[in-house]
Amino acid sequence: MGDQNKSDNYILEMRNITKRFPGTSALNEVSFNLRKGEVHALVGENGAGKSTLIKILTGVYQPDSGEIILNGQGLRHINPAHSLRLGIHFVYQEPTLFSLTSVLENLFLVDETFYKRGIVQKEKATKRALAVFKELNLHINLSQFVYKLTRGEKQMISIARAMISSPKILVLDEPTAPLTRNEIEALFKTIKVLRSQGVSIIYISHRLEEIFEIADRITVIRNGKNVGFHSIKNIDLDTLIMEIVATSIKKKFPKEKFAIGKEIISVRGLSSNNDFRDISFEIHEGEIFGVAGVVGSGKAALGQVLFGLMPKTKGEIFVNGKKLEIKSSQDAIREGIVLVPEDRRAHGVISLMSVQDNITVPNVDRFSTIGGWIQRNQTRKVSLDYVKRLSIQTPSINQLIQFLSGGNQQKVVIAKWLCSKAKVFIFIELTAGIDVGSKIEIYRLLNEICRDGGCVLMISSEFEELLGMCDRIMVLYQGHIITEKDAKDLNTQSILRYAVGGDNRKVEETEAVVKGGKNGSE
Amino acid sequence: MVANNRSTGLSTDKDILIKKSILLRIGRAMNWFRYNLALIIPAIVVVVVLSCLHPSFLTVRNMTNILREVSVIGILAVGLCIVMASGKFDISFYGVGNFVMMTCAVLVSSYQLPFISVVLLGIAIGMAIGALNGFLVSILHLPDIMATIGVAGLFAGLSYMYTEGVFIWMYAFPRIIWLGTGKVGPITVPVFVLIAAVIIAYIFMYKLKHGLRLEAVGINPDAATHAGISTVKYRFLAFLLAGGFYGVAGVVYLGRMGKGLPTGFDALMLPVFAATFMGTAMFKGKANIIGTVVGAFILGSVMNGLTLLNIHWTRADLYRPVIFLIILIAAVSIRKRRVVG
Repeated sequence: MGDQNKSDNYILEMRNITKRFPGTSALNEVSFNLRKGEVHALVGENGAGKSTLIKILTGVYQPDSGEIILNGQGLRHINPAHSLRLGIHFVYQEPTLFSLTSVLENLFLVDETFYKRGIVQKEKATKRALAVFKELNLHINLSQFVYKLTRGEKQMISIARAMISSPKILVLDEPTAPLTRNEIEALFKTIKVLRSQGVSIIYISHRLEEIFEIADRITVIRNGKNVGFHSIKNIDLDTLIMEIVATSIKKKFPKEKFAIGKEIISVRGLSSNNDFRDISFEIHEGEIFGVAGVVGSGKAALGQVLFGLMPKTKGEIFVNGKKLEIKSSQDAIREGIVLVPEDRRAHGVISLMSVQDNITVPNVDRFSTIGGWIQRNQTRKVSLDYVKRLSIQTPSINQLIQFLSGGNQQKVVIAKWLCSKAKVFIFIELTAGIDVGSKIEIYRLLNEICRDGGCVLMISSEFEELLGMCDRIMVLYQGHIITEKDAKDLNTQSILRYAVGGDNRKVEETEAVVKGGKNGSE
Repeated sequence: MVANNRSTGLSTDKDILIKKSILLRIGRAMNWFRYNLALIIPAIVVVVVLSCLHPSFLTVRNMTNILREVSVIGILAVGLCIVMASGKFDISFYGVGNFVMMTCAVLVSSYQLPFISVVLLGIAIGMAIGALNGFLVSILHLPDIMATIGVAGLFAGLSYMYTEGVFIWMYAFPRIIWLGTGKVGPITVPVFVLIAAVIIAYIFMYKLKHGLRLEAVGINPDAATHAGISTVKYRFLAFLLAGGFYGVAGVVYLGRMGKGLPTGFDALMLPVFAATFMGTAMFKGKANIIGTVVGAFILGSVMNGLTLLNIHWTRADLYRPVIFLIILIAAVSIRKRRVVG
């Protein structure tokens, strides 16, 4: 096999792609190639340039320089519709389905070959859909409305939608994020089937363990540059992490111990309608208290009740010894209780506002005169200060927050509460969808909160993260406390066992329900 | 040699620093233009084209004419813009306008109320109806368009009913007429009212904390709730303030028309929507005060231009929307390219 032959093997080559945005250069001479019938993982931190590269491939952006060669032919000025026709399909991180139409209609919205004079040929379509479902091992009623499906099912539908039109290149962006363990395995099986059929797959994920499970080769991007290119056999997890974040990480969880001070928040017999019952705990100064549980354990609802987003039905909340009646988020914030929500895009950031305004909004009382005039020089100074302190990557504090990467958005959300001098920080799924490097920086912020005499209530489905950062962990099962222990007396297996009701036999079954349940402790 | 190198090295470092700060400034200025060009360019183009087409378009007299023509539309649009910034919609302004106009006309002509108290009453009535809107939409959570159509119909109907549909002439009351047609220097009084309205709304929206919170509610009510802002309170506030602006417009329009006309505001409905939406489309896609005023100005210029050019009214009705569409397309494409690029 000569060189010629070898390059013929590439179904896709992206050579020296450069793309600049005002203020930043997103990609700098990045190359990427894809063989026929392989799974090629594309990894890097949030904001490293992965999604820009993919957007160039799918024609959302045009590169400033560089070339794209598909099947030996150069591509120029493609647009998304064009790239679809070339067989490049993209499955987005967030399922983009139409919730008020049926599964079948969703599957065939895009593919024109199933239309005859603008009308879907239902029989032909159903046949094809059932064939794809069989391959994916999916059991979903085709006439069901999409809004009734779970997030995992929706994700599988969007993968099925891409497969309907027999793609040549399939881009999967964080496909496993909303999936249960069973669904992940089904997906991996499908990926292997597709690979054997000659479909090339670009696999983007922060879950590096999965990449070792499924990928053939890895391309690592950092700060818009190629930094690594490996066959999966020649690299191990630690080296890979080092390449992704540049510095070697001795500790994934930079936990610092602080002297535990006086009690800050204490909760007695708290109940909320259907979500949880009779929850009691207290958190002290400088302490991180974790809440673990599977879906349906009521752990997220607990945070929302404490923050006043949902009413409690029974129980008492004390902060610094004072009994509180929290009826709204305003009440909670006034008493120094703040919450960083799970859904960053929908609840965390105010998208059309600048970084500065996002930090200012909840603290605007402090930055305004009696008449209500905002003192812009103060807000500017404070925002700049936080951007520097939390190393938030943004060209300016006036940048709209929606243009920041996920990790940096999350830092802004945390910054606004640090700025409010809150005492009780509630975090729900703090690091969901955030890359390794930013995760560590965010964990460091937890230390800072504790150092300043605050306390943290950390609600998470990632048991490893709870074990790594918390002092004590409480496990909820179906809305009540099943145990509360020192973090050092627990491990992922034991948390999991408690999270499913303490019954050993159930552990294997429910591993499937646990989001991110595959964080084994090796 | 080494020393030399070092010194040059140092000086270039300094140069880079200076260059960087200049670049930063240029970058900031570019940023500002990126958002504002979209707003200014169509306005400039309209003015340039029309002044080429007709020599007397770009004269002080004509400009003040345009401003006078759009003053009432502008005041209403600014009020609507505040509601839209809070994420809701308000159609009630024509009903509020009619009602305030007729009530004030009756108060002046039948009860001889002094000028100042009539103006204040007009504003108060507007705000009261705004509060009713706020109650229905924000507190009872009725759909905004339905509720405000209902309120508009209610008050438009009321003003018709108690005046029995007749005009109420105002020429015996010079101060009311002055408010609508009087002049200070070359500029008519309604223009000053418009300027005052814009300044007040601008300060409220962009200088006061309430405006920032209101905007947050409009952009993402869920995130605003998570940031400790009461969406109910700020939406109510938006409707209340908007009602005040509609009230002002009602009194000013009474003076401009010289009579209380029970259906006076009906014809202003579309221009007000057009001005507000044009402003929204041109500037970041957010409802905003300056955009709205520029929108109103473009609107007025086009209408004025068509009159100057002697376009027959049967055709003007066709040309006007076509021109607006072209302006909108231009504005939106400028904005898009700038923000993404």
